[in-house]
Amino acid sequence: MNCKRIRPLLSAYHDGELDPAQLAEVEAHLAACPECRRVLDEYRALGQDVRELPNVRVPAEMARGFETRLRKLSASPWRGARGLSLRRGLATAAFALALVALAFGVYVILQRMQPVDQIAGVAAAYPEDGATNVPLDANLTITFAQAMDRASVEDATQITPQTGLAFGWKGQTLTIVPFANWQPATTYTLTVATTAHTAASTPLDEPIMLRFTTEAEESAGGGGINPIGRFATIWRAELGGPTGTLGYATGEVQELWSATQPFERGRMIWVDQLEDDTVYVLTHATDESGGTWQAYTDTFREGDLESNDLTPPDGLLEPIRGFGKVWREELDGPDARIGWALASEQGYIGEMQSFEHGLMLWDPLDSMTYIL
Amino acid sequence: MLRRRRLIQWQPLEGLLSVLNIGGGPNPEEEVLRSEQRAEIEQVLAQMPPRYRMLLLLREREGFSYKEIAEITGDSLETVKVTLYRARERARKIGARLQGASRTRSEKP
Repeated sequence: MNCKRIRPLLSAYHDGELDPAQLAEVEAHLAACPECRRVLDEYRALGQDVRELPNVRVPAEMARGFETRLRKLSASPWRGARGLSLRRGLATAAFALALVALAFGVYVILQRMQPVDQIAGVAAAYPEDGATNVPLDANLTITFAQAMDRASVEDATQITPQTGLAFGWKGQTLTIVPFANWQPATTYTLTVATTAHTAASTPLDEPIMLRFTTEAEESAGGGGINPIGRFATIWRAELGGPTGTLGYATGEVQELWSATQPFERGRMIWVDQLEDDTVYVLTHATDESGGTWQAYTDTFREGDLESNDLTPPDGLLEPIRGFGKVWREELDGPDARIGWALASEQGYIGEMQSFEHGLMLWDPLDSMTYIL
Repeated sequence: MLRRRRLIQWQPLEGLLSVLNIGGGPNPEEEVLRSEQRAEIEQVLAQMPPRYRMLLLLREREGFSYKEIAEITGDSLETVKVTLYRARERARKIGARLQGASRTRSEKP
């Protein structure tokens, strides 16, 4: 069961990012564990497959905006300033990345910029600077006071958070179309640097900056996250949705290495959270009407005493390792309200999502969802 | 034979695959195998959460170190490490599911 501890390290091992102590530990384990070797092989195969993906072709209507964005990437100042040394030419890497990113709908944040705070040279803009509740599918328009050199404006335009943009012109009006809908409840900052110039080669007096905030998603007013996937149905139907017991989700669904063990009057669930593994102890109430739960940090480390070699009543088990430590040290061991274990612990990859007022855990072994 | 049949069973994800440029190769047998692998990895990537996908691509395709990825995304080193682990575990799980589904469908007449 050493695999539990080693498995999260395998990924970093594959990436060559372990410190010497961890490296030695992982290699010793790999030599003895065919299952972990198989997982490592799968990581390698996945990497190989990803690298062998063909480049992607950008649809024609997006290509213009992309070329502009890539030129910006290769010219942006953050490289030197942030001291990154990239393995390959940045332009090449950024190009490949941006293309892949586009095809897979990824937002890539590669630039930091200096805020500026005035609008000069602009006759009209939508949305106005400081606008809120901007629709998620809105296009941006800027009408310049003079005829502009279009390419220079496009080159000088940036937006944070970084978003793929396409540009369209009609006379002195520039329409900026995002490749995908804006993110809800997000403040975007669009800037046009003074490298933009008029058709007569006069640069902008000052940079243009438009800051706007998008509307919150209709069903998730207040900026909360609606759960999706397996937890969503229960959240809506049983828990009253956003105004119910749990409130909004506060993060994505996470897949976590987990283990569970049934007890006479409850269950323990261990969740691998890497820094602080957690043991959830679920105890039935005396009258079976419900129960209580309590979370403990798993302080068990390899080499600790695995069990006290107690003698459980017939057919029951003493919990060992992490569960055993919590059971002995926090729950009074044999006198624990939760009782003895009914069966040994079983590992699985579970799912977990955090909410404003609790969390949901999914156990695929029993197809059970726990609401804590 | 089986391989071809399995290839036919793959349902490309609408919208995503239309922008992917799957090139032709000289050897038809190899090409069948390769486009089959591509179809699978594309599906795996398409079904992953965007953040997982992004980090996996930054690491495996672009060859950035954890430190560089942390600089790019603004995450901590620990977050990069954990997210890549989760991304790979998710990929394994999706891959296994796709393989299972493909086998099941192939068995039907």
